[in-house]
Amino acid sequence: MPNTVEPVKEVRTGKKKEIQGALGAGKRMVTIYVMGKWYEVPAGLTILKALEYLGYRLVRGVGCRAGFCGACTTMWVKKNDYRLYSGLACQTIVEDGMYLVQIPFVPAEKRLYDIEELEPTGSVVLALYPEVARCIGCNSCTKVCPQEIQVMDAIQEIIRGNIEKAARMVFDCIACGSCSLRCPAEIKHFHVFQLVRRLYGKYIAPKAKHLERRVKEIEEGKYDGALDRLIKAGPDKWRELAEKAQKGEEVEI
Amino acid sequence: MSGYPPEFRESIKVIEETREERLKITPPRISPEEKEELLRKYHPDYKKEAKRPIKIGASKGEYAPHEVANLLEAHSYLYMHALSNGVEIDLEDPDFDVDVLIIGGGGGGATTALWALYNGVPSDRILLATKLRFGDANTKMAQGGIQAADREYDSPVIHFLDVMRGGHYTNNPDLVRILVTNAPFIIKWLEDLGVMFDKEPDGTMIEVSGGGTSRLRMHSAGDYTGLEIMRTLMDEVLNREVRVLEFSPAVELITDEEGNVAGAVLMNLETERYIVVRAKSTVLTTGGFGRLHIQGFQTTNHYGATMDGVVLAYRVGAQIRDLDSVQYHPTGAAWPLQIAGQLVTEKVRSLGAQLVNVEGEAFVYPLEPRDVVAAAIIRECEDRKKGVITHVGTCGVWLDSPMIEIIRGEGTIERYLPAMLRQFLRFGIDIRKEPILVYPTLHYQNGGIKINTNAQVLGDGGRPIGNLFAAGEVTGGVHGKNRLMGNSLLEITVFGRIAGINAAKNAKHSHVGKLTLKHVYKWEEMLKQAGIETNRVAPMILPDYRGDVKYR
Amino acid sequence: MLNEFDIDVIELDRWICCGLYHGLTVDTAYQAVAPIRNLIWAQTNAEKLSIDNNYLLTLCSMCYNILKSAHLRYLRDENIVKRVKAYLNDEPEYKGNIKVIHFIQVLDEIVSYSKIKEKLVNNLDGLKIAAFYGCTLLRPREVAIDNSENPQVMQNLPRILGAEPITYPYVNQCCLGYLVTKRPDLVWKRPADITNSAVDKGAKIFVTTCPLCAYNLLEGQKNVFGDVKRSVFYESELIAYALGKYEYLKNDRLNLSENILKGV
Repeated sequence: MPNTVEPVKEVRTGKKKEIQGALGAGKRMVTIYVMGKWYEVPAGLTILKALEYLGYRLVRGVGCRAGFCGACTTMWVKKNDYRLYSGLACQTIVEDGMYLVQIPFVPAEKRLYDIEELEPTGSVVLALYPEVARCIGCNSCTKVCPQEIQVMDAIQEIIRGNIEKAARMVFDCIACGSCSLRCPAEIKHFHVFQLVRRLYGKYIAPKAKHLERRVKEIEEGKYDGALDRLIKAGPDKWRELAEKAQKGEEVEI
Repeated sequence: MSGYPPEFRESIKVIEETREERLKITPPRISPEEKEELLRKYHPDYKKEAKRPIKIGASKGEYAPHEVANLLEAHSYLYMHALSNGVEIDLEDPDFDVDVLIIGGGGGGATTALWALYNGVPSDRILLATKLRFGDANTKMAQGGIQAADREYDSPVIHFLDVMRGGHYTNNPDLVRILVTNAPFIIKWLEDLGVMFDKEPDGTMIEVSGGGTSRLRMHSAGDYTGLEIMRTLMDEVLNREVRVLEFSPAVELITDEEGNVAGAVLMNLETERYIVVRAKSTVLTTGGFGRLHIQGFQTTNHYGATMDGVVLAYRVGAQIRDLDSVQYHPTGAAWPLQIAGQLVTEKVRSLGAQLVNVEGEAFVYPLEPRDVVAAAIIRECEDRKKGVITHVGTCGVWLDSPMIEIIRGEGTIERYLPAMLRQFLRFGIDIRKEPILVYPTLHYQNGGIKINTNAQVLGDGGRPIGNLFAAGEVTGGVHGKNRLMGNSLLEITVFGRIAGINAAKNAKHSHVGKLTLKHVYKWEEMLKQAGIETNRVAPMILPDYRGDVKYR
Repeated sequence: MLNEFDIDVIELDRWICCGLYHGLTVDTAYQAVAPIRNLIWAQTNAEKLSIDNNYLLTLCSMCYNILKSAHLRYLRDENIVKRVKAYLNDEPEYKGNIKVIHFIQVLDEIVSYSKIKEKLVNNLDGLKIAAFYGCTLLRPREVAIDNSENPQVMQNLPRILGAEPITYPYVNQCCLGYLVTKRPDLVWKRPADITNSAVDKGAKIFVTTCPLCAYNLLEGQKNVFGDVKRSVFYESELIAYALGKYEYLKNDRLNLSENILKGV
């Protein structure tokens, strides 16, 4: 529970002056709670940088530091607010009174399958992840998603077997796991979504015919002669032809 | 803190007012002679004070930035923390005994694992060790795309020429040949795995141009191309039940009596206990060095990009090349400060946005190769003083993203740049309506460990070091002195495959003798002989940002 | 098919599973979250398209029951309102004015019988049918679409079209679908009994509106008799056939007339 004692107001000595401005750190300090302990950090820092400012050397709960990998899922509560909030530590700026929990790991079983043996239908997904059918429509998943995905709606589309629609809806998923942590039906959304995207990409999306043709041409050695000659010809020739190519001209060797 | 501060408003107004005129023009291309001068004067790589020749090892005398040389001329982590402290590393009874050990869990490592599997190595004879989580790598962050010459109007020959031109014609032509001729196959393989490439309704791949590319051959999956490829590869590796050891970076390679590589010593990051792995083939796919913050630049790289693989290989005698060729991505975010240095994908420029200074001039052709654009932006800020100065003294120029909505229609940014849009909306900036402030950021390790066309690591005299392979950003020679956009995702998959195939082949007949750490003692001796006195220890493993708010 | 009777049916742009499984939970507030969310979306849709009658049409008896029950409970119980609102804080408030109706009610109350008679193509000619309501359309009393003991609404229209609905004791019995995954041994006996009773009274086919009932009746027969003695048709299919609207019939049922006449 949040400490009801007023935080110590003295400013810590040392680096405060130097950091003002850097990475958005302002002059104002805010109080945050890490593992239940209160600290003062400059307003304007992201949760991630605030932790490092305080002296934490992160091993878990940090990854790309840019909002792409879902490693820094963080949850917090605020004073006098019963709700649980969720976000990425590397992209969220600290707020006064944030009571933080870093999530080191989201326990979520991934079901194993051979994609070659599957069909792109809702029943296939449900067979591997039957708990999907337990969705009660509470939308807790959508509420915590840092990528603004309509998670519940996507799950419903999967139940209805609309694989293509679901795959597109969940494309931005970074598998941070916030949804699964909150789901009363214990659905592991990000694993389900991964399967759905692969089913779409492999079976439903039309194949690129020009790609098949080119792979065959290369296999048959269509470009071997030209590349042999080109490599032999040396850097001066490469330079000459490369500039030609840049202008959109045909290249002959 | 939301949106742009009032002091930027005026500058943004100039951008808005000049937009109509700028839409009609294409900024002039730069001639090869101008290019040389621009790079020489403004590109950070050319600053003589920023680099020095390496004092020891197989590539003694080669130039490297100070931050890199510091890591190469450092004590062994294992030696300092264990061997000289009486901590026993039991090499007689390894914790793991495998055919293929893969060090690094990004796109390169995952591809290596799959192709080793396809080529007959059982999943329980493969071990994929990674420093952070499986998939935590620069791969996930690649936004723009992956190149492959699969259209009628294009060919691997032209792709070859583009790669060479980008690399200033210093690339290893045999490696480039492999890159471009395997590209379409790799795309097909990824398509079959289920990667959701952007396609037309009839299946034709949507391909755009990139900096330095002469044809449209950049395949993409939204602006999450790297993420989409990485998570698909991860899913398949896990489905195949390959053992993945997370939070277990390699701190030293192991050699045998004959000097062949025989595995590695890993360290459990959480318990700090050492794990001994004996392996018939070892593959390094450890990625890049962004977190060394060369010349004090912010970086686009993930937390673990600390050049561990190069250090490890260098210690067993590997040669390196082009480590002084550092790619600065021209457009890293310069505002808001909280995301300083974060990647603003080149795709923004591919789709039509121009780079504009405070006077409203589009000062460079946006799709020159990256080193040229980066140098141009630095010139604009430093010399010409036509950049925007933030309240902390950093500089930036404008990337006029609203042009994209005008050129390609409303909704383009939402459709093709959702990650960018969301990133900036989080901080109150709508890139559909407002330009983005950018400045070069440390992005890619152009050079690295020397490999041959079999992905074998080369040591003295260009001879392969026994049982050691490498693929991806950790290697050098594919991109020469400068990588083109879209060739990195290509390199890790093309060479990851080759490393996997050859690691599997090698494991069938290789012989691993008695495990030793002789090369570590030899290294320490070499340091002494070279008169290097230092507290530095390598590999770095993780950067130390405690108390620090300089780097994002 | 309702278009034939000048009824415009518009699909909701957003809807989720009604929470069938959760209709079986003990927690009456949790149970209401998904149904009330659907009702709110129906409300939003109606407002957006200016549909004043506020009807929400359901085709499945189970959905009908869950949605209607949730709606009535919401109107009645303060506690449920409070708890459901907390979950549904991401939606506008439910005003409580959606009228949940079942397809059968549309046929019985809204559609004009004279209009239907005009369009009759295939007179059903005394075909004996066994209407099967199951329990969800008739229980509890507050959601029932007709007298629970002697329901007639499903039979009314077929009668107009020439069919002869039989009277048999299983017309409103539960098909035991709830237990089909847990106690299949108990479950299959019921459909078998229902079928025997229907056969006894001379029925040639079953007519129902609930997919679960349909599934159970068919599977039960297969499990107990080894074969389907009496086919199960949806009321809408029967009507479509009678009106000669073959394009509305699912492909595998196109030979309706033959099947009916053969009595299989």
